[in-house]
This record gives sequence, structure tokens and C-alpha cells, in this order.
Amino acid sequence: MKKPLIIGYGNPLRGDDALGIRAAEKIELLLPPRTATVITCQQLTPELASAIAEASEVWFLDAGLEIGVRVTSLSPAAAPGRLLTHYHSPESLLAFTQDLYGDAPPAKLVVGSAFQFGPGERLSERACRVVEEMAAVVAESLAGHSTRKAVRSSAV
Amino acid sequence: MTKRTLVIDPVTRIEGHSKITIQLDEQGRVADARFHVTQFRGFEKICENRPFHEMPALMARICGICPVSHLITSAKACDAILAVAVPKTAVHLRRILNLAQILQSHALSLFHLSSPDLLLGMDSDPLRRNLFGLAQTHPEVARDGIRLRQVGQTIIEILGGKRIHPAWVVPGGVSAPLTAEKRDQIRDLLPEGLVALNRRLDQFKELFAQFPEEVDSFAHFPSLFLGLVDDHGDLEHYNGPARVIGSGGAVVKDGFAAGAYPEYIGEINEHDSYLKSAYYKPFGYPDGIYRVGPLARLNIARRCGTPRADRELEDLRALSKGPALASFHYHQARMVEMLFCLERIEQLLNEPAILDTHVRAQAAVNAEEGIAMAEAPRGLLLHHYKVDRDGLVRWANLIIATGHNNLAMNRGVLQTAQRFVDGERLTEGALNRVEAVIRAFDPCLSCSTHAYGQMPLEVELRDVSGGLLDVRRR
Repeated sequence: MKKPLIIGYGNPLRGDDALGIRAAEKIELLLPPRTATVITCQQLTPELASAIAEASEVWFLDAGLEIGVRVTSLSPAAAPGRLLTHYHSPESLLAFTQDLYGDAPPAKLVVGSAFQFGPGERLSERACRVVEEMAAVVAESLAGHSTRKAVRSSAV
Repeated sequence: MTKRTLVIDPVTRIEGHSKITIQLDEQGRVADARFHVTQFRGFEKICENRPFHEMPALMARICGICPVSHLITSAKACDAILAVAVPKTAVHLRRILNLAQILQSHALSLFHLSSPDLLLGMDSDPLRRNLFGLAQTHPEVARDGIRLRQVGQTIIEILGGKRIHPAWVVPGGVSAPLTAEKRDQIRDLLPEGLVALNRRLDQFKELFAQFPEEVDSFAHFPSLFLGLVDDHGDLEHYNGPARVIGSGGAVVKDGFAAGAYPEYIGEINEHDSYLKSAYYKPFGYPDGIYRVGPLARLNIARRCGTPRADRELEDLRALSKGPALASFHYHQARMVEMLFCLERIEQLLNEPAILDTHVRAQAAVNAEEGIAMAEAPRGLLLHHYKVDRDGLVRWANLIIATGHNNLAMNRGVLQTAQRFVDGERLTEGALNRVEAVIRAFDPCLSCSTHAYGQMPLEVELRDVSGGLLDVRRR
């Protein structure tokens, strides 16, 4: 049976850029075992297409300069533009998956506020709170309304 | 017509940053062409004053494509500083890791980077001549390429804990033994890799045959070839002495160990590139031009030593009389080696002591110098460290596969440009071929630019409005 796929990405050596990775790791702790597949990586690369093709839905988790946490539904890019071996956007990766495997699952992008991108493996305090929020948003969606309270309490 | 310079910047679908310049004479003919590496890493200097035991993990950070090669070669140099005999099981495990890396790297080079040229055409629309275009027109090929790369990456992850920059290889061995569960996970991956590769072998051999002009002009010339061989003269990626053969196949030098490299390998800084050029010292510069990497390894080896790879090696050898001199054949050599990697990993997993828990030899600093060689995907990799009695690195020299190939790549760029580039009728396809000859070598430039204190450098000091205040040149 297909499972949701969570892809957290960013540079774990550049401060808050690791928001997506840390949020993905947090979600894995919040959800019951084997509920979802969690992948963490520095960048979106072509090899992720096969995991995406096998998923029921995909959540991309990234750091950005947004305020708070923003969730956006994604569609495969109509014109993927220049495709690089080392980097894809979530939309171009979905389009790549569609071309390779004939279909791409529904997908969402969750972007959380980052505050500093300096060298270092620690997140800022504010970013740590954003990680909790990002994780709660995704975990609640995947766990369903009935478990929302439990998820929320463990996330705080 | 006046003299002109064509610049291809950046060179695309390779690992790292570079450009190519082509000099045209008054008649619009190619007079010269050069490959310039424009990025600088400097790890030879970065590692100074660090404890030697940090070197494997630190050196792995040189590259995101072939970190395992640096990890292993660095650990081997540290083994020499410890002066220990690495347990046999640890050697087997290091070999598996190295082969998995070669597998994933070759799959990346052939399927992701070069297949768009081969399957969509050298003259095809550059907007579609990429991995995305390949997925749209040949999804089955892209899928198999991705799967082969995944097999290699997953083996690295199983053994080393992560796909990129694993730190499992340490001075004296590896940090943890292989479990039966992990052995079985790796074993289960291999058949799928073999199926994917077998699906593409015949297709690609037929495809390669459709490029006779490229075979003739993509760095097709006599040169030496350098690589490791085992005690029987067979294909070797981890240990063994180095062998040098000439373009006719005769052995020029057999059996030089890592410690003897200064006698045989010279390095020179070119004025227009951060990449050093290596040459075979007894023949001098530039006559000592040689090539390394999969084609060189298969040229110098007696055989692969695994059944399927040996059958494919026969097909590769049937293309040339004597050693393959056409660098276009690097592509086919990569397929032979991918097959070898899958077969050899299985053999190593079947070694009786592969689950032995004695996988690390412990010692303090017993030697003040460590030199090691291993085969990276792109060719021979050499790490050389000097340490003080406290084990702090005082000096380091890295000779990287791409540096070994630098003279050959430059000569290949010129040969290809002279064959295809017409200054009066420039075509995108002709310029793409000049890039494609570089892709055949699969250079990894982030791995290979560490020279310090010798490279040409120009620093301009400008004021806030951009006015030039001062210039310093070295």
C-alpha cells in the first residue's frame, strides 16, 4: 500500500536552513511507526523521483524567508526550465516523476521562517518553534482530526 | 578576418566549474583550445595543523559525488601513519564501499550527464538536451540510470550510515562490522542492478557505434595509461601497485608502490587553470601525458576477474587494436566497470569472514608520513600526509584523477575543436561536441583544485564606484 512521503531538505551546516530536515525528523517521531516514509537531504535530486512515484502524497519541507509557516499545494511544472543535476524545484521534480513513471502524486510544500543562515549546526530559538509548528501541521494532516489533540500536545 | 576567441562558459553537465576557450586564426580556423578550471578548493592547505585522524572525514568533504574515494584513500594514508595491518574483513568492507561508489558515480556520468548527447543527439535542441529531455523521450533509460545510481547509493548508506559523506571508514579499518541483516539487504539490491544494467548494455553498445566521428576525434591519440592492478595484473580499485603502459600496450613501468610516486608522477601548474597537470616524470612534461580512469584501468588490466564483466571487456577490446586510444570509449568502459562492481560486491559479501567483528586495528602515531593510492571512479587518487609526533598534519599533497587527465583533456579539446568547429559557420552542435569530449573523461573539478601558493592569481582592488585602485598579479 502506498504511503505518504515527507522530504525535508536544506543544509544542516547552515543554521536555520536545516528547518525542513529537522521538521521531517520531528514528524517521524510524532506519527505512528510506518505511517509515512521520511527522507532528509541537502537538495532535491533526480533520484527522489522513484520514491515520489511510489508515494500516496508528498510533503516537501523547506526553509524560507516567509513569516510563520506557509503551506502550498503543488502541481508538476508545466515548463520545468533548466534542469540541473544537483538541484530541482519541487515542481520540476514532480514533472520529472510524471515523465518517468507516468504519474505524480498530490504534493504540498511547507515553508517555515528561517532567521539565520550562518555556519553552524544549531537552529535559532525562533526557528526551533517554527519546526514544531511545521511538524504539527503535517502530522495533524496525516494523522487525521481524531488524533489532533494528541499530536498537538506532543508537539509542544 | 581578425583573430577571435570563442568562450564556452560554463562547461555544462560535468561536476564542477570550468570554461573552454577556442582561439581562431585569421582564416577562422582553430589555432588552439584550452580547458580552464575556474574554481578553487584548497584542501591541501585547509588540513594543515589538524589531527591526522580527522583526515578521512575532512577529506570526504572535498566532494559530494565521490566522497567515499577520498574517505578510503585518506584512511589508507592514515593506516600508514599508524603503521598497522588493517584487518582483512575491514579491507573487504572498504572494497565494497568503494565499488558501490564507483557504481553510482558511473551511472551518474553515463545516464544523467552524457546520455542526453548520445540519445537525443549532439546537435539536438540544447533546451531539451538534458536529463529532463531524456525523461520525456527515453524514460526507460532514465529510470534504469536512476535505479543503478540508487543501488550504489543505498549500499553506501547501509554501510556508512548516509549516502553522502559517510564517516564509517576510519584509520585502521572501519568503525563497525557488517551485520547479517545489512549483508542481506545489500545482497538483495544486486539482482535489480544487474537487470537494469543488462537492459542497457546492448542498447548502448549499438548507440556508441553510431558516433564514428566522435570516436575518431574525442581525445583519440597515443598516450600512456596509468592505474592499479592486483598481484595477477587484474582490475583493481583498492590496493595494489600502479602500472604504466604505453599506447601500444607494452608495460612501461610495473609495480610502483604509493611511496614511490614522487619518482614517477610530476605535477605542473598551468597559467590559465586552477587544476594542476600531472605527467609521467621519466618522460618529462608534456611528453609524459597519460590517462587514468575506467578506460585506462581496463587498458592496463589483464582481465576484470568476474565472468560477465570479462565478456563485456572482450567486446570493448574488439573495438581497437591494442589499448583503446579513443576517449569516447570511456563511456563503454564505465558500463563494463558497473557490471564488475555488482559482480564483485556479491563475491565480497560471500567471503566467509565478512561478518567478523574484528574490523579495526588501533595504534598511535608510528610513522611521520603516510602515502596511499586507490582508484576513484575517475581514476587514480593519491593522498600524501606528513605529520609531527603529535599527529598534527604539517603538509599534504593530493593528486586527483582529474589532474592526471588534465593534459589529455586539453589535447582532446583541441583535437575536437579542430575537427568540428568552423569559425565562419559556428554551430551549437559543434560547440557541444567540444564540451562532450570533456564529459567523456567525467572530470570532478571540486575534487581536484587544491594547489596552494603556486597558481596564477590576479587580485583587483576597486572603490565603491568600481574604479580600479590597485592590481596584484602572481
